[in-house]
Amino acid sequence: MVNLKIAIERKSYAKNMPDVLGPLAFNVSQGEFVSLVGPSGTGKSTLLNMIAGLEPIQDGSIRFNDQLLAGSPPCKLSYIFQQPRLMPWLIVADNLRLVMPDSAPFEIEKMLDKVGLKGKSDCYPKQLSGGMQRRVSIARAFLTRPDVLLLDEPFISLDAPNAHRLRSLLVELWLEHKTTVVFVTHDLNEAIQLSDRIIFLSSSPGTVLLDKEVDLPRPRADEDIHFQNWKKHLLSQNPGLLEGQADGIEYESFSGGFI
Amino acid sequence: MRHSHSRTFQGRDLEKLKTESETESNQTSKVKVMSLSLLRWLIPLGVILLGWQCTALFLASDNVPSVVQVFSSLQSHLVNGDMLYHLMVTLYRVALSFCIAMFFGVMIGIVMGAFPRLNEAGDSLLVIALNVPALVTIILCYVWFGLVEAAAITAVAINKIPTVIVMVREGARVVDRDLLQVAQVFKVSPFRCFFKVYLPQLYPFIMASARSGLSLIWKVVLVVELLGRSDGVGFQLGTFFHFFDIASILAYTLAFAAIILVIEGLLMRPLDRYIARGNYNDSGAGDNGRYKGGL
Repeated sequence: MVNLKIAIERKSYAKNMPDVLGPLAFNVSQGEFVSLVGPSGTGKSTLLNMIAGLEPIQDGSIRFNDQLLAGSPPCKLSYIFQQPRLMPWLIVADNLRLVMPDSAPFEIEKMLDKVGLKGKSDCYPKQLSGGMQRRVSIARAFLTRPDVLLLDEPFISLDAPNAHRLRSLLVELWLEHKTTVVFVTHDLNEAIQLSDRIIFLSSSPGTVLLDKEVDLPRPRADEDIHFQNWKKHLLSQNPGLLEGQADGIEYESFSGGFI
Repeated sequence: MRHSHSRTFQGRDLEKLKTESETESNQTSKVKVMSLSLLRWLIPLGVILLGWQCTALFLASDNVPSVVQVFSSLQSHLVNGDMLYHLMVTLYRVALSFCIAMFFGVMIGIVMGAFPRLNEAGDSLLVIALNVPALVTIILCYVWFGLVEAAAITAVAINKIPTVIVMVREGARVVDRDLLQVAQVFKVSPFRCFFKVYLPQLYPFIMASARSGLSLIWKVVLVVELLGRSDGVGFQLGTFFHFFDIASILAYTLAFAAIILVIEGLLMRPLDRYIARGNYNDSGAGDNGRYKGGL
């Protein structure tokens, strides 16, 4: 039950460093699933870190339910990082218990079962493959039943069936808890399949190129003809969208629109 | 039909037999490896003892007792003397000063590793503390606090704390911020964050300082006892020195070295294995990791 109002003027990591984020503003209403799509290096992860309260906001503001973000977010927030970031010295079950100390063993087993890791609760992360570690990190994020869920390219490096299953799980969780989701991805198909809205970011410093509502009926399959048409239409209307460039936006750097 | 049945049965039996013999051969090979490693351990020891015995017999001097003399002295001290009492007193002092030194060393090390400014301020002080001779701290403690137990323990602890700080500080400097961010995002309580996320990253460093600490501390404890206590191994060694009782000196040394070996085997090694669980530190203690495979 949380909405987000994001209004960033600019963001850079140090005074003499180039800006990672340019002027950028968008809202995420409560229970909405918003994807951020853009080329690498546009500050998508930085933006998620700022929402999570891990990165200070220099100029601008982020509001949770009209409450200005200062320090840690005023709600239950989960973050699936690009790297699994599990504690190597804790077994899988304890890694989950770390974020939910009072969760019962059967809840943890159920969650592990959901992400396809039944019977792995006594393993140390090093004993699992990269994809399995990633699924543990996804289970950890889901276990807390968050109000806001941030995902930083969570399904890369997963095999197709598991990625598919976890996407459905994500949708299930999102519908169940009315979670507000901000989802960062490179994969346009994934974004179209999952989101209510897709926000396309320009190349660095990141600004909003296009804020597009996805008005396709759910569930959506990417081999579906409407899906494909929608995507084709989007890309033909906005050439250069995925490269972080779009017509009608002027660039100061001469490389934009070149070639 | 029946034929094939019996054949599969036979086949299964054969397989069973095969696996049984395999496990048996596995066990014998395990025993072989164990005895081999024991042999590797015993041969150098035997060579040293033999060399010692020969030298002693060759020199035939009162100042170089033979192995047999030392062991008989050890036996008489154990059975008739109060060796056990003195060993226990020394061990108690070692344990107490070890715990105090580790506690303060780890605390100060973490603080210095976490706050660069404090680290800068304390660095020169640390270098001085590292280089003050053990003898100086011992004498000063005795002079200032009197010839009491507390002074002895303090003196030993002060000698050890700086080296613990140096090692733990290095660990605290390279703490993984990414994992701490996880704790921050999921609002893990500070207590749990410290013990489940922060401290485990320092365990290898704490372990290394504990290892080096034990060997340093028991040597310093002996000096402390020699200078200002009327019991303990150090005091006994001083007494034997006055009587030129070399056999007793060596007997006491052997006894305490044996105790240290036992502590190493019963305490340090299992701790190593515990720390290497999940095999997250790729250096040092990781060799004993349960999940590294091999032996």
